Amino acid sequence: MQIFLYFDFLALGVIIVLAYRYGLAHFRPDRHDLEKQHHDEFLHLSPEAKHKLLEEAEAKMRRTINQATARFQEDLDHAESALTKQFEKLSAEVIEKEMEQYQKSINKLKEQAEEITSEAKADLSTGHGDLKAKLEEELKAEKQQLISQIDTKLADAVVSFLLETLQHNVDLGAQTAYLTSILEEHKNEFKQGILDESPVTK
Amino acid sequence: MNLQLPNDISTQQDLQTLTLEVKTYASWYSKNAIKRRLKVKRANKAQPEISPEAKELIHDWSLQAPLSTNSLDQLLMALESFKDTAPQLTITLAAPASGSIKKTLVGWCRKNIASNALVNFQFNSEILGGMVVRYESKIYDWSFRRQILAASQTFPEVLRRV
Repeated sequence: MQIFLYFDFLALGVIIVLAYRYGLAHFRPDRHDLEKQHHDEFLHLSPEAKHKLLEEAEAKMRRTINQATARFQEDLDHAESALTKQFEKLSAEVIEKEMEQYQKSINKLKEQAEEITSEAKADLSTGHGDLKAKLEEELKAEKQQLISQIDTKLADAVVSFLLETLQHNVDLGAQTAYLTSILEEHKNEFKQGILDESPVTK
Repeated sequence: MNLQLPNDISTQQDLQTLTLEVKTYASWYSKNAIKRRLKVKRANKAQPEISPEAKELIHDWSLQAPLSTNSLDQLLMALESFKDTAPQLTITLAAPASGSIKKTLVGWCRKNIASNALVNFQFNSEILGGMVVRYESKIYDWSFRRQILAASQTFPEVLRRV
């Protein structure tokens, strides 16, 4: 970019010089004629004079160009530094703005993420509690069912054992009093049952 | 006149046997009575052998009225009536019942239920103890087996208290 600016200013300087000369010739034709006359006279001068004049013109031209170049260079440097400063300022402002926007977006996303995380944690805790309660309830029900099954099986086993063991070598002699006591205990029920079946009087 | 059977006579078969014996005795008594009346010199036939229960029955009957052909006929009629009207119970025990047990149970039934009750005895070792009494369509299960089975529901509770 600097090279482009340098070249632009150089071209501008050349154009300005040419414009000045043409303007001068246009608005001061006499000078132009004088130059023409001088040119004619120049043609009739001696070689040494011509060479001397040429050298003087060349030096003068060189001085003028150097001066213009120096001025251009100076202007160019000023312009360059001003542009650089302005560019840096603009860049800094843009970057600062972008960084602010970026930081805001980051903060917003961060807040959203935190909110989602906290909601998820809350849901997880609730779900975990419910699941735990449900699991405990199911375990308790299963435990009760198993206990009930064990009780039933155990009772059946004991009853079967007793029935199998006691049915042999039964001694009725020791049961006589028990038998009469049973009859006494259920006498009324027995009598009523017989009366229901047939009217029998004692 | 009131017929009171000995407690040894408990079943329908016992009653039939007793009736047969009384009939035999009555027949002999009648023939003897005729011979005595006619003063027949031929030796009287020996008294037929009857069971102690039959002797006891005839003896108890003779206490109510002097023994005669007529009274023996009344006894036979009473026995027939007894057979037709007696309620028949069936008692199942855990083992074959001895005579004394039978006598005790029959005596209780005739004292508390019906004086003319007849009791058949059976045994089934599976009931373990106690008795099962059946009359017509009524069944009273007072056996050990039923009590054990009924208690099986409370067995776990008892076990936990041990």
